[in-house]
This record gives sequence, C-alpha cells and structure tokens, in this order.
Amino acid sequence: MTHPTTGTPILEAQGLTRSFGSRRTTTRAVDDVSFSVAPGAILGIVGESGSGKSTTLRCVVGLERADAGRVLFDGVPLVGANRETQRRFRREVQMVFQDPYSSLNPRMTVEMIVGEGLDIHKMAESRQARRARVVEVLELVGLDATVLDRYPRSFSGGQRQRIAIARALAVGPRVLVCDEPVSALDVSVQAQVVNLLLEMQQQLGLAVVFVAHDLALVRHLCHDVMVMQRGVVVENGPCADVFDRPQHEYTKSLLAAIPIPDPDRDRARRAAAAAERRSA
Amino acid sequence: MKGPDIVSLNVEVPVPAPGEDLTPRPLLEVSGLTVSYPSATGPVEIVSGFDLTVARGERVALVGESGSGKSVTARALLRLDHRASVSGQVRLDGTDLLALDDREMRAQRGRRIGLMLQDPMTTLNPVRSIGSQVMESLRVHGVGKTEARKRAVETLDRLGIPDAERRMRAYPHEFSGGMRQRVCLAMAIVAHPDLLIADEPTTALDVRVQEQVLSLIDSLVTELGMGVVLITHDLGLVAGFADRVAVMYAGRGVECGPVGELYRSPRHPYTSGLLASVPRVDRDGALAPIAGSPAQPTSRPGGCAFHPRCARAEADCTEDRPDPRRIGTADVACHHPLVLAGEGNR
Ligand SMILES: Nc1ncnc2c1ncn2[C@@H]1O[C@H](COP(=O)(O)OP(=O)(O)OP(=O)(O)O)[C@@H](O)[C@H]1O
Ligand SMILES: Nc1ncnc2c1ncn2[C@@H]1O[C@H](COP(=O)(O)OP(=O)(O)OP(=O)(O)O)[C@@H](O)[C@H]1O
Ligand code: SF4
Ligand SMILES: [Mg+2]
Ligand SMILES: [Mg+2]
Repeated sequence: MTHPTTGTPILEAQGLTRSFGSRRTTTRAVDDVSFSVAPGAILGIVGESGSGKSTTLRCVVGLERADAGRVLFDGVPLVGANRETQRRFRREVQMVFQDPYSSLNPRMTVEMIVGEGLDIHKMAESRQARRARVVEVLELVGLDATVLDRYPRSFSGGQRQRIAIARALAVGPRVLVCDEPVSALDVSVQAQVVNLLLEMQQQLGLAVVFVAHDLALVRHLCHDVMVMQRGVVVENGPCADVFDRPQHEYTKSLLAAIPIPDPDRDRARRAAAAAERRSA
Repeated sequence: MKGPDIVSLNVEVPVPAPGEDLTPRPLLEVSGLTVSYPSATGPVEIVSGFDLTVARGERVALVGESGSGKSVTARALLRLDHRASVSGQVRLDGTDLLALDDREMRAQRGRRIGLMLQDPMTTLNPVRSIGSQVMESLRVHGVGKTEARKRAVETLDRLGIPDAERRMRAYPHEFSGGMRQRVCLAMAIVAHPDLLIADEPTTALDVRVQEQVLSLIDSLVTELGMGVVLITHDLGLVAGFADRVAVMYAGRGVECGPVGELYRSPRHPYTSGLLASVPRVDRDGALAPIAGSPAQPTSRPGGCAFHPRCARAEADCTEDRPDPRRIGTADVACHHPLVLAGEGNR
C-alpha cells in the first residue's frame, strides 16, 4: 500500500489531554495524545476498552472540551480560527459514533437523518436533489430507497450503523472520524464498507481516522496505527512495522490474542492461553 | 387472571410416560418460530419457521448477515416487542414461553433466562447507577442487598471492569462503550440463569477482554450447566467458543451443525460464502464478500431466498423452498449442497 504521508496534514491533534472525575479521584482519560493525518491517509487507533479512544475523537471534533492541547485543520488551529474555517471544519470533518443506537434520533426518518447535514450546510438545491443524494449514499452502504420513511427502531444493529455512515458521507467530507464504524457489521457488509472507504481514499483523497479493535481489519485498511493504553499513546507508526515488530507488551499481547477462524487451531491456542492464565 | 406460582415453574420435573423416549429433553426448544411486524404496507414476516435446540451446558452460536433476523429472534423468544406477532413454539424446560402472560414472563427473566440485548443504551437506565442496575436481577429474586452487592462487584470484576467496587456508583455515561457492553452482560448473568441469550456481547471489545468475557461465560457453562445462545457475526469468535452453529439467512435457518464439521466442510453455499469472507490476520489480500446484498424482508425472492446470490443455483431453486434435511452431522436447507466425495447427494 502506498503511504500518502507527504503534504500538509489535513487534521492534526497536538497534546490533547482530558480528565474526568471529582477533585479526589480524577482519571486522565486522554493524556498528551498527538497525531496527524494527511489527505488520503488512513490512521487506525487501537487500544483496550477504556483506554481513551472515543474521548480522543470527541475532543478532536469538539464534542468534548480538552483540558489541554489543540486541533489543527488544514494547518490552522481551530481555537481562534475565523468563522469560515470553523464552518468548513464542521462540514468537512464528519464523525461516525461508536453507538449506532443512541446516535440516531428515534423521532426522525432515515431520510431526515441522512439529509440533515445537507440542510445545515445548504447543500441541496431542491427536495428532489436532496432525496437523490440521500438515496445515493444509502446505496453506497448497501441500503436503498425503500428505507427512506422508516424510523431507526425498525432497523437491525448493522443497518443502523450503515445509516450512521451514510449520514457522515452525505455532505462529502474530506476527513472521516469513525469510532468502531464496522464492529456491528457482518463480514460481507464490513468488506463492502471497507472497500468503499478505500475507494474514497484513493479516488477522492479522503482521510480517515478509524478506531477499531479488530486488528485484522486495521491491517487491511490502515497505513498508520496508534496504540493507546490508559490514555497514553504507547506505540505508533506504519501499520506494517507495528504489526510485524511490535515493541510494546500490550501490542504484542493484542496480536497474540487474535482469534483464528479455524476451530482446531483456535481451540488449541485458547487452551494454551487459559493454561498460562491459571499458572500466572 | 392469576398466573401459576413462580416456584412451581422452577421445580417442574417432567415425568416420562411408560415407553417414552428417555433422552434428556433439551433446555430450549424452538420450533417453527415465526415473527412479523406491522408496516405501512401490511405485516412483514421477518422470521419464518425457525427451529433451534439448546441442551444444558451447550454453547450454540447464531450467525448470519446483518438483517437476517437474529435480534428479532432473540427478542421474540422473550416476547419483548409488543408490536411483533409471534407464533410457533418456544419451550424452556418444557414450559411454553409463548403461552405465559407478562408477569409470568418477567419471572422467567433474570433467573431462568438471562438476556443481553444488542444495544446497551436502551438496556441501561441513564439515571441509575451501574451498581443498582446490575444488582437488580438478584434483588427481584429475593437476594439480600449485601450479598447482591458482593456478587455484582465480583461479576463486573471478572468481566474486566477495572476498579469495579468504586465504579458501582458511576452512571452509564461515565463508562466507555466496551464497559457499558460488559455491564449489560453482567446484568444478564449475575443471577446465574439456566439459559443465556447474548446478542453481540463482544462487538466493542478488543480480543483480550473478549477472551476474558468468554471464559467467564464458559465457566458458567461448565460449572453450572448454563446453556448459551450466542448471537454474533464474528466467525472467528464462534470457532473458539461454540459447540454448535446455527446459520440464518433471510429469517430462516439454513444450516445447523457441530462447529468443527461446519467450518471444515460447510454444506450450505451461504455458510461457505460467509466463511470465505472473514478477514484473517494470518492472510493478506482483498476481502471476498458474498456477491449481492441480503434479501430484504419486504422483497424476499421465492424458492430459496438465497438463489439470486448463489453460484450453485439451478432452476428448482427459484421455485421450491428447500426444507432442512440431515447431511452428515448438519441440518441443511439446500437443494444442491456442497457434499464431500463419496457422500452422494440425494
Ligand atoms: N463523561 C465521563 N465521565 C467520567 N468518566 C468518563 C466519561 N467519559 C469517559 N470516561 C472514562 O474515560 C475513560 C476512557 O473512555 P473512552 O470512552 O474514551 O474509552 P475507549 O477507549 O473509547 O473504550 P471502548 O473501547 O470501551 O469504547 C474510561 O475509563 C471512561 O470510564
Ligand atoms: N421493530 C421492527 N419493525 C420492523 N422491522 C424490523 C424491526 N426490527 C427489525 N426489523 C427488520 O427485520 C430484519 C431483521 O432484523 P434483526 O435486527 O433481527 O437483524 P440481525 O440479524 O440482528 O442483524 P444485525 O446483525 O445487523 O444486528 C431487518 O431487515 C430489520 O430491518
Ligand atoms: S437451494 Fe439452490 S439457491 Fe439455495 S443455496 Fe441451495 S443451491 Fe443455492
Ligand atoms: Mg469507545
Ligand atoms: Mg442484531
């Protein structure tokens, strides 16, 4: 895979830090996290549950206030940027949330949900144009016009996740910030979405920040990978390097624990792991 | 109407009639489960004549593409959706669940059946502490507060929630996605149910936590004989966990058999396509998803619903719906299954 890291990063995070809790017990959910993505690059973020991946993304898109650090868009710091830059940021950087259930408004139809961004950014000339665009992105994620008038509750988990992806794609973003965008998808739809992201990356130079726990997938999709543990980045670099020569203990153990879709091999591996746990 | 005493449901022991088959009755027996939902254009059948059995101490995985009806099936077993019309038979230890009223059904939940739904945020109450929610299924079955608290902390701890004791006081929004998912699982298993139905319990978890979660479920299976229906699209996970696998397509069971044989020699073209599309860390190259997209409930093809996507389809596939039949160790619903050399295809 060619590695598009040349040029100005389109999105950059510098020293992001965010703590939660009362004065007595504070936890640093995100601790001095920095990364950058160039146009056409795909950055994977992996790390154990609770390591601060979602909080990092929420700080990047401005849904969570960072205690320290800053975010640059096209080389310009967002804090203090003019209205035009902020407006462009809101349109060109789209987020797909981890939980496809609570991130879709239950009182809105699919057409309203997916088309909302088109209205906010005044991107549709007419109702027909709006609908056409909504249908177009729904089809990209394997849904179609028959779902336009339905409400989120009548969809399966994977279908909801695809509606959320379609919503993010509708406004034609340059950066997609996705939090586990395909974890609820079965293998075949997952492949479809992954191939779609790759296509958009190659043809349109879409940059993607991609939180995932599925390392096989990260390896397929990402150029760079960043490993987090307890709020801190413990390892990062080109995917191939990190996967073939993991330096950090946590990364090594993650790679060792990946299930293999072969009952005999996987059982043997799990039995060995269980024996090790018992003797530890 | 006054329902039967809850306790009597728990101790009901089937007495075999003379000459009756003495093989133990399965824990869960689902037959001909059919579920439909109202829609603007009339009722839509989502699940059609689905069969499944789970023995005590057995781990059954229910797999299939997005929208195949897995979650609808899970919710129908406990009749959680009042909008759904459900028919067929669902027997838990002989008790017909579909015949119970709401109050009797609630009595089954928690103790007899632990259900973990796919979406944590609709299960969790945002304004109640994590601790009180995990303790609840013990408390409603009469377990004292101290004991319930102890067991809740222990369960969360074994599911890998760091600092579980202190975290009992936290609220759902203070937990990460993967932590919330484990809280929902804790709610389902804390009362040690006879049957656990878990809908995508590990989608948000990395492989290490996933192993920890599965090994806790495993220990309830081996120590207490809990039966498990694990709903997932993660075939890698199924390989290491399940005893048996049921594959669903367009609301029907298409193949069901022991995990080893099913992975080694899938009989149904759909099963074989699913297995071929798994990304593997030990392999490179493009992913090979099954061509086409899953049949929508409103426009299911006649005959075998899979035929527009199936490379083995012949004329009969578009007309006759294949019924499940036994091939080797599996029940397969296909006119032209993949067979091993020398096995023949009748
Ligand atoms: N609003 C909040 N209040 C208090 N603590 C919080 C809040 N949001 C997150 N946290 C804590 O911050 C830590 C990091 O959470 P975050 O959601 O970023 O993790 P994550 O890496 O996305 O995990 P997962 O893979 O499980 O989704 C966790 O310990 C979490 O409990
Ligand atoms: N409440 C509902 N009303 C109408 N249709 C529904 C309802 N819930 C689900 N459906 C439809 O039923 C089909 C099966 O949904 P289900 O949630 O069971 O899928 P699933 O197999 O669990 O998929 P996933 O892996 O994506 O969670 C889908 O096509 C869905 O759109
Ligand atoms: S019945 Fe025909 S169409 Fe259906 S899976 Fe078998 S061969 Fe394919
Ligand atoms: Mg998260
Ligand atoms: Mg589901």
